[in-house]
Amino acid sequence: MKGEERNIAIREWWPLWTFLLIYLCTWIWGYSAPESLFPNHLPPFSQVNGETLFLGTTLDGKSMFHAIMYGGRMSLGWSLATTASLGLLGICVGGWMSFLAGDQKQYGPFQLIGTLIGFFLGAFYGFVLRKYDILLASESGLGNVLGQLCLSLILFLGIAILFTRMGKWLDKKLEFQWAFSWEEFWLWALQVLDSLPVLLLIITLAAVFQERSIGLIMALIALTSWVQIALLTRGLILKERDLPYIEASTMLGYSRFYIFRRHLLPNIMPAIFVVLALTIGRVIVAESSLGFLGLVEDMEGLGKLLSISRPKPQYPWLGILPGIFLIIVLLLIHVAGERLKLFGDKK
Amino acid sequence: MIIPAIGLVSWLVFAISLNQPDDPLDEVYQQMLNGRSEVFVKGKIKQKSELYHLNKPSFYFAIQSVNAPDTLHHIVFKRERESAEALFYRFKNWVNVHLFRQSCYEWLTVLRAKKDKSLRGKNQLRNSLNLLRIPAEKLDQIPLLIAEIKTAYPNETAISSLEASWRQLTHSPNSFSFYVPRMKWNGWDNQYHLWLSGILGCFDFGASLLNETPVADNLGYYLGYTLRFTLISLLIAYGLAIILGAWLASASQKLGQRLLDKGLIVLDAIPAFWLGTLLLLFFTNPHYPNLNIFPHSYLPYERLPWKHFLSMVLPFVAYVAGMLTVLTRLVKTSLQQILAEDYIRTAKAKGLSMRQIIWKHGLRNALIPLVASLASMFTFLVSGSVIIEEIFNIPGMGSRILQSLLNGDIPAIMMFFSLSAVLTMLGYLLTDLLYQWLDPRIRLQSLKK
Repeated sequence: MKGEERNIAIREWWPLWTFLLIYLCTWIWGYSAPESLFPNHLPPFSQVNGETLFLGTTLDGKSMFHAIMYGGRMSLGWSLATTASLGLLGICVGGWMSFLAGDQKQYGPFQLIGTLIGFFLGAFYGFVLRKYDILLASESGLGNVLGQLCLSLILFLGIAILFTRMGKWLDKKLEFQWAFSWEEFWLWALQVLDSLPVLLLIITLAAVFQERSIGLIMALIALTSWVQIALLTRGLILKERDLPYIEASTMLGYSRFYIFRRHLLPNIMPAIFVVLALTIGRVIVAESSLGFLGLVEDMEGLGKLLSISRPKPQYPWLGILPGIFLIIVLLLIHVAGERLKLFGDKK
Repeated sequence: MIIPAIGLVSWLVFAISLNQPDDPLDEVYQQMLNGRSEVFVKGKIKQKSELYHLNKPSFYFAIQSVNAPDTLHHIVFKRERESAEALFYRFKNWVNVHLFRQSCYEWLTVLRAKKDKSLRGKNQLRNSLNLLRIPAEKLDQIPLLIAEIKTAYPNETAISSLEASWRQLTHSPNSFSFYVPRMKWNGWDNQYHLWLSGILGCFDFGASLLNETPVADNLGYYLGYTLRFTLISLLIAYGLAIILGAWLASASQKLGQRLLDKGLIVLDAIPAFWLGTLLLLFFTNPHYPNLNIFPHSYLPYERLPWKHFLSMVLPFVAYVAGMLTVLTRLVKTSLQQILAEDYIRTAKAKGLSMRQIIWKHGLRNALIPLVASLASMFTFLVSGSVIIEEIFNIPGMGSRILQSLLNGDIPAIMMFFSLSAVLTMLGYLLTDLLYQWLDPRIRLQSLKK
């Protein structure tokens, strides 16, 4: 019985296993960057020194197979890491926004004044006075900058929250408060972020910072694409929250966080995984498109591999072979997403 | 809701552009190093700072300490301003920083009056100018620089006073007023206000960093190409999607339908840039004479009308292919849902044919989710046009923005980004309005609110 189950799992989830197998292959054959050992732009199945290069060589004499494997490892690795982090961010923000839904906070004039004063003082002591320290730290490594920035942020938030709380306390004493919901504001902000043209935003930032590194590009892709996951998570939680079993566990006295962790999260995860699978595909396409446009200079990804061979109509396989690898990966991700959707529906 | 969003985006774009490391006055600085006359340099600085609003504060207000300088923005050189700011935050005393800079300038006039054309003169001019623009992390090099200048020109009173002012600066007392905050109001005459009012008032996006002409000069030309391609391909994609979706939604399972279904999945997986490369490789390749039917880049109408139309085919294919799968599946699923409804069964019972049912009853209701997809399709098109225009050499907005990226022309990039952001937001607004117009239920809901 158990063996049969295993067989079914292998048969049902073949796209996932194949994808993992391909990723493993890219680690085996693309562990290190290929070197220019062969004559340039050989066609597929040509023989050099008794060795058959069954995908030919690139424009600068690297084995095309190894170049694709290395580029694939780089592109896939960065895309998977980015998707994981943006998915985590999206789920956290979505969960937090679902807590906000229908939640009305009491606000008063003194709290507003306190927030403004706290913001002003926090910005002054946290960032304006510490400008020189942060600038100095930027010369001695990323860790120091992050440390200084964290210190500044703690100062800023501490002062801002302190004054806000003081204002709130005054408001409560004077009993002069009115209700306000943050939900609509955050929804609006997320929708604005979602409607920006991502590719152009990334080009703008790359131009201003004059940096064309994969780290910056991936950070920007993550920054602009977590919004959809956050909105989806929020919608799913709101839908699930009204179901009777949640009500029952609330009645039993469990905390909101416990219910979120034990009941809500496992039930909404399949739907989120479907969207995450689609997001991986989108991130891979975005990353290789930007590489193709020449915005990634410090990584030999698939996009760069394709862009180098672009103006060479006499060697068409240079432009075709890396793309075929890319398309196989994207199709596998797509089919895996469809399987996941079916799995979620069956449940 | 759209106006605050556009305001937010404009502010973001401006804040980002303030951080550019380049200074439009770098060229003038090079001329200063080469010993151009002071009148020429001053005229150049004045002209450039009027062009790019360099001598204005950047925003309406600033948060700073009480003894911080009021008029730091009058230092028009970016690196010089940053260096002066770093000196202030390091030694916490603006008066002494000001005295130090003053004596630097005095020494510079003395040095210029010498008219020393030798190598020593050139080197010391560079050192003296460097004194004023040392970056924040290298402030410790200032005494070394002063010593070097002193060995080159001994017995100069200006240098001794320079040294004295540096000593005074390093020994300046710790003042309490440095830690007292203040909100400085800059008034309306600031860079952001001038930039935004220029755009809103006379569609002036500032001057290009390359040739000092307004960046909005040929905007209509580029925008025309982009809009022409995107709107026509939008129409083609929607038309095709409706026809194919209606065909796929009808119940019969022919071989062609199943093939189309699978083909659409593959088409969806192909990234635009690879599709463009493939099209170029196969249909414009002189090494395949049988397939080589299209020109490999966009050709204007004036010279060869027939070639002009041929050259537009491949870009349209690339544009439409990117949207076709999503749209067709949307039409298919919404039609399938509608065909399961009761009123369709009534129509069947009346004896209408399947074709009549789909085209008369089904499609009209299936159009609503299609309209909802318009905004996201528009965003996709504005982003995708960068890649497709670059591949097919179309002189539109997308290829211009890449060129400005290569040239480092920040005002042009700011213009293209803010324009496309506004365009996509207008797309969202248009979709909302269309949605309300098409579906009376939504209109009623918003009226109730």
